[in-house]
Amino acid sequence: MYQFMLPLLGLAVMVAAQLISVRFISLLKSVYIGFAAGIVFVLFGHYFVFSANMLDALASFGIDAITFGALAYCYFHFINLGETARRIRIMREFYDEPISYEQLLAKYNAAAIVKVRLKRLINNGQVIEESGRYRIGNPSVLLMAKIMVMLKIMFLGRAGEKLNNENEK
Amino acid sequence: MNLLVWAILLISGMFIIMLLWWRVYLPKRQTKTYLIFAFLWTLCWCVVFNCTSLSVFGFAAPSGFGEIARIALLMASVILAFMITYSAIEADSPSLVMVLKINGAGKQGLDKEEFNGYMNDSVLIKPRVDDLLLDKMAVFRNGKYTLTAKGRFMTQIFIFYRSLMGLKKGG
Repeated sequence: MYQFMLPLLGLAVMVAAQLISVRFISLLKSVYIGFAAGIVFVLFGHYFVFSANMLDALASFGIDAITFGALAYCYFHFINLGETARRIRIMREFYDEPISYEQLLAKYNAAAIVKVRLKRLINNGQVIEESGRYRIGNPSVLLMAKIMVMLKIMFLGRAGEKLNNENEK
Repeated sequence: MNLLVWAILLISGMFIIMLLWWRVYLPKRQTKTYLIFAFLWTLCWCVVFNCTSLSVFGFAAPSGFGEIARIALLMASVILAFMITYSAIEADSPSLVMVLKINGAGKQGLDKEEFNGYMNDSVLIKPRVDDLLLDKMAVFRNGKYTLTAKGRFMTQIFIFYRSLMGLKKGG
């Protein structure tokens, strides 16, 4: 009856492991560690606590694995929002006192956004800088970008934001 | 096995209806509309499971508190996961835009000056500020932006959590 709590407990284990390990390793690696700890917990919870025939056991674990996976994904993105989301950063700039658009740009602007992301892409080999030009290296992020474009067309009927499309023209 | 089959049916049904709805009429506040629809969808089905005995392709619907709670939690977690993904669908991620722009230039690559000219404040900052106004996270008053109570609450969560991890401002 209380099996529904297993993914929630797995998430708690994930959060605890991630918060402890982030003090010693990078943010991304701490999330991987947390996820591994959580899924192992869910797996062992199934093995030791709940018993059923093999097919039912697999289906039951499947349900809890999907639930835990989705919760873990949410947690990962919650952390990622704090790390990379422009809206969160902009809200942090608005937090202390009301500021104008010009004052915002003085603290946080396109140049800062591009610098951080370009550095990450170049360090990961996803973009190559050569003779004053950028080109694609490892295509992993490009693949993600194309999947996103496909999802945008599927849900929104367009490939990008209106402003982005206008700039393309 | 029953639970897994019904979970797949509920999730598929929810996304098919949402896709059709979005193609016919795109809501102004898409995330809010999606959340209301998705949670109502889940709630209605939980009530149906509690009050009736259904069966599809020989798979009996969830029954009893334990099974209904498991499927409700699964739906809630998938709904939230998609909500987060949807914000990436709605808004263009700078990293992905950058990569697509570079890829569009072909094998010879994209000139740095041209790239820097494209990735400007009107592309990267202004739309996000407008989103905050639309979502009522901030207001524009007397020439300045201020957070609403909702915006402050959201920001405090992130400030607290980042301090828990010993991290500074992101973005």
